[in-house]
Amino acid sequence: MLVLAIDVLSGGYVRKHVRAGASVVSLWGNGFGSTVLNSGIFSSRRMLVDQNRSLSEKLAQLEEGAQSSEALKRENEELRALMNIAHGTTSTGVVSGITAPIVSSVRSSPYGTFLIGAGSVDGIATGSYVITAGGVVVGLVGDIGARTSIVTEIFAPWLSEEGVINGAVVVVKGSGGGNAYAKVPRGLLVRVGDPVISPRFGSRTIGFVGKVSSSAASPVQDVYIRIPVNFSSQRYVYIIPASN
Amino acid sequence: MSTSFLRAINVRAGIALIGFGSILFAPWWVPVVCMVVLAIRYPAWEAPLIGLCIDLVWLSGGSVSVPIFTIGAVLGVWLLTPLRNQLLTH
Repeated sequence: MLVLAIDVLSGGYVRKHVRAGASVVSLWGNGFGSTVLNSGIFSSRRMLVDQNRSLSEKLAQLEEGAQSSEALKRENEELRALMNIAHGTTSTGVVSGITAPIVSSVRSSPYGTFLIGAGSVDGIATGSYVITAGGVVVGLVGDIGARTSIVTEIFAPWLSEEGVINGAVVVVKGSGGGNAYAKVPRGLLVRVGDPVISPRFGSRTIGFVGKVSSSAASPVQDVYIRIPVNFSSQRYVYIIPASN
Repeated sequence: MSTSFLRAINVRAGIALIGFGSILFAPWWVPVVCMVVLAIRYPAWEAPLIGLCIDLVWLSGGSVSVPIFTIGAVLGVWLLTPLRNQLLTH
């Protein structure tokens, strides 16, 4: 408790240094784990041959998917430019942002937070938006250190956010891990894949409808929302100032 | 020192090490389980320390920033003292 008191009185001095150390240890640990797993120590020859064949097939499928994704991405950018809601762009022009690496596990935090390898030295401010490459807002920057900052997920457990689905304002409640849910009236047509927009974040997308569940006896339907990326495999995020 | 005493020290140290190490690399419930085991079995100062590390690393200073794990660990070790004294002390 004394340590916590010192931390509060010093304005977060202790936790900033603890997080800086934690990000270094986390990177070392992940690097060591990857080295051990990729070294082949635990793999037999037969298993490696099978794995090689499987990965070659998967590579061919991914290359095909990448080409179609590239075409869709170009079309998406053109449409976003038309609607003027592209991330990093406002009516006054392009806003500079920062690409930051995720330097911690996203599963380990009980508060729905994770660490990024950028801080005050890089010009990040508290309250900045954290977005994915596709422009989906996934978090807000919290405490800032010199080179490490903590990000609170929008869909962190016990947090709720106002969202808009097909024109209807709903309360989206976070479940953690990039998932959330909302209760919407039965009369509202909601389909899988519908974007969830947030007025608080400049009408940016905060997720997509993943599943809709309803029963005839209920006046509401349960809408399960998710972000379109696997948070555990995400390595970089984009930070933009909150005023944009 | 007796063998059982050394074994008990090793178990306690092992659980504490797992607890500290899992703060950064394992799901959040792993260090919580370690804290609970330590608090139940021993009058362990390691449990509040694990809770403190969890809060220092992961708790963001937002509108709601109560160090739940630190407070919970301190209360757990304190409240479980009668249970340990009654059942586990030989």
